[in-house]
Amino acid sequence: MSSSTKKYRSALIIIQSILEQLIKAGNEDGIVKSKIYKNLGLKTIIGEKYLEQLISARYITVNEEKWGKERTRQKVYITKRGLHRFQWFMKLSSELEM
Amino acid sequence: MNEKNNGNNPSNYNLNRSGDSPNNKKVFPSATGAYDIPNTDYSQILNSYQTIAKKDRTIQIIGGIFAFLSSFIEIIVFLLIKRLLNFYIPLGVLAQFIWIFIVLLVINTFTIAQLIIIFRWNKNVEKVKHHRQTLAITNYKMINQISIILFTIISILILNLVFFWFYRQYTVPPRPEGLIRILRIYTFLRRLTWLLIFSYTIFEMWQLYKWNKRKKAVKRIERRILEELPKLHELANLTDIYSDDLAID
Repeated sequence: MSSSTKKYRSALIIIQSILEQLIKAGNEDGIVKSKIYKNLGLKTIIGEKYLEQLISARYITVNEEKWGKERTRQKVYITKRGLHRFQWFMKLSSELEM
Repeated sequence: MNEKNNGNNPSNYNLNRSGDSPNNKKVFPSATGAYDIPNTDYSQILNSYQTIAKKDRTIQIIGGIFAFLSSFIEIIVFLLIKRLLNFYIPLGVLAQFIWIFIVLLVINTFTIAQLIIIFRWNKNVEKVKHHRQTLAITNYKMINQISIILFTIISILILNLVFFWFYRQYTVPPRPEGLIRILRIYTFLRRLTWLLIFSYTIFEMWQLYKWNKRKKAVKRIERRILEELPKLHELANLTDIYSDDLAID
């Protein structure tokens, strides 16, 4: 992996934004997948890839829930690890205060 | 995607990896390895961010004073040179008088550029405080400016060295009659500028240390996330292709 992280920044912003949306929604409520894509303006195919990566990194979980009588929907929840990674960036300013 | 990928299970966490080790405690929270999360509520996170993301006032104040004083010196030097032109002094000699002030002018330009960037940085902090922007976007807007700020700091430091070189290279020329008063003012301004640049060099060296540390910390966090998300390059490529549609710019 290259030493420069700058070229991955566009993806990192989206990851942080997804995590932020999930934190906003709260740990119990979660967000429906399609709403995340809509809020960030992500195409479904790209959004899916992001969520797959976040699941494999154990930042988020996806649960299938009943919606109405017959339909189901997939809700996304942030994990402790995801919350922790988000807070790394938020803590940056205080850690570096001189 | 399935429910088996449950990241909430603490036993699945690899707590002893480099990012959580005590070596990184300056950057990564919970150096003990435990997942110590103080805030799980968004409003709490937002409040703590508003407390820690302080505006950078030092560059604004010190840079502002420097820009003001050096502009003042430049104006007086300009008026002096205008008067010197009446004495038919050869351009080569005149150049010896003004080299250091030309360098001062360039340093001043970089200082003003730095002030503008810091102004944008502070504006970003303000946007979070007034809920006009998400934390993620604010953070990355700030992170993206670190390299630019470092560039201005390094440029200023190099120019300061050039200033000291010219200062030593060209001393005050012998005083011809009729120029004594002008040369006295010139000598005073020369010394004042040296003192100003010397103090500013120390300040910028401190800033270099501070911003470089900040840049390294960001890189360290980003690298750790890259380790956990090995396919990030694919995501970055896809994002760049479809970036026009994104709502987070």
